[in-house]
Amino acid sequence: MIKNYEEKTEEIKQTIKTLNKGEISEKNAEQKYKKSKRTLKKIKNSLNLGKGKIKIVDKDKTLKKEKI
Amino acid sequence: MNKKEKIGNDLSIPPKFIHTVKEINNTISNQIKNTKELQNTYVLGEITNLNHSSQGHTFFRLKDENSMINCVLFNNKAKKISTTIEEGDEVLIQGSIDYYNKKGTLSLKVNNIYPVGEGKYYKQKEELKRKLKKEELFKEKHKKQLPKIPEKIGIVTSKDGDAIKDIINSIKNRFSDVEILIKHAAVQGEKAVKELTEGITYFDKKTDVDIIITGRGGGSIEDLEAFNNEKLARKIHETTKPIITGIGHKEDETIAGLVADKKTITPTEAGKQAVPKKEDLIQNLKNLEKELDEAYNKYKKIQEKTKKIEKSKKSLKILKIALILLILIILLLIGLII
Repeated sequence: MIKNYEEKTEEIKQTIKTLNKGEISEKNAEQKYKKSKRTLKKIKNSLNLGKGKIKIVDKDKTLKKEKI
Repeated sequence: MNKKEKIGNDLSIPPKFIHTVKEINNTISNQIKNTKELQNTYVLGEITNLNHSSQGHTFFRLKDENSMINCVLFNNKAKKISTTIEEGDEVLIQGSIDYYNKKGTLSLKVNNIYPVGEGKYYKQKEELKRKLKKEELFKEKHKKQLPKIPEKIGIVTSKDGDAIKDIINSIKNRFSDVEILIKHAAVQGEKAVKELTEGITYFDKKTDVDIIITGRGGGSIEDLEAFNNEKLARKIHETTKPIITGIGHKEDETIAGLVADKKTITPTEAGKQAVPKKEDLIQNLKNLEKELDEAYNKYKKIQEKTKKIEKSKKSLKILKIALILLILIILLLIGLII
């Protein structure tokens, strides 16, 4: 999800535009609205990647985390 | 008796010591040609009286504190030499001493020119810049787009410098979740180019990092030499993953920076360009959600109003029909009474 952040947020922006124009059936509007809400939730969750580890990939063992 | 013998007899000089101009010039020329040290020599000096002929030959003098020598760079050699020269440049010339018999002049025929002194690094950099620019390596069409939110970043820099701390702090302050991989590389000295290119190759070929950052703190042009190296520049250019450089201070321009997908002025700035601020992304999503809710509520309200209008229209239509019927009944009744 994080990889297509731009694409997904753009989809939501399009839904907002469509809703603002009003040229959509009630059923479709509700479906699009609910789908966008779910997508937003997923994007938010995807931003929490984890602990954000720092790894040293050198063979040189003298490079320790504390030094950074 | 030839002329030399006659003059020799008249002046009591052995004829073998008397030469024509041609003979003495040939003797000098042969001496020079047969002296190995003069046929492949290196001469250090400063360029003066620089002159370019219309045939593409370059003439100048090489001088030091007390002496001067004429030099000539023929156009066929000039085409093979990448170093450009200017008045006042300190250079090391490789060439051979040549004696021009017809005029009795001596000059240094140039085979190669090496810039030396303080201007050496600057010149090398400028020459490489011109070369790579000609090959269009700096063109925008080659710049790879950076991912909006990278999950993993590879850093190639020295473990001993401040740059590594600056890059990490900068990334972590903006998006602490991002995973960082570090590959140590010397950023100056003999090993620098090799280790920097190896580090970049490693992240490009053997890891799943989304972005590679390389850089170092500021320094003299000599300190930044590795980042003005052709091998490193070409490695950055051919790398499939996007590369950000954060080299030196604001005023430092490097070839690595010019060829990179994103050039920044410091290691801290490189970290900033690599990741967005997480709080900004979250705020952006909140704003988007608010807009979405507002748009949907507005849509529903409009729908409700539309329904009401439709309903009213319907009622009005029924009322209209009822009224017409009433009028007809009244008219019928009136007719019956009459």
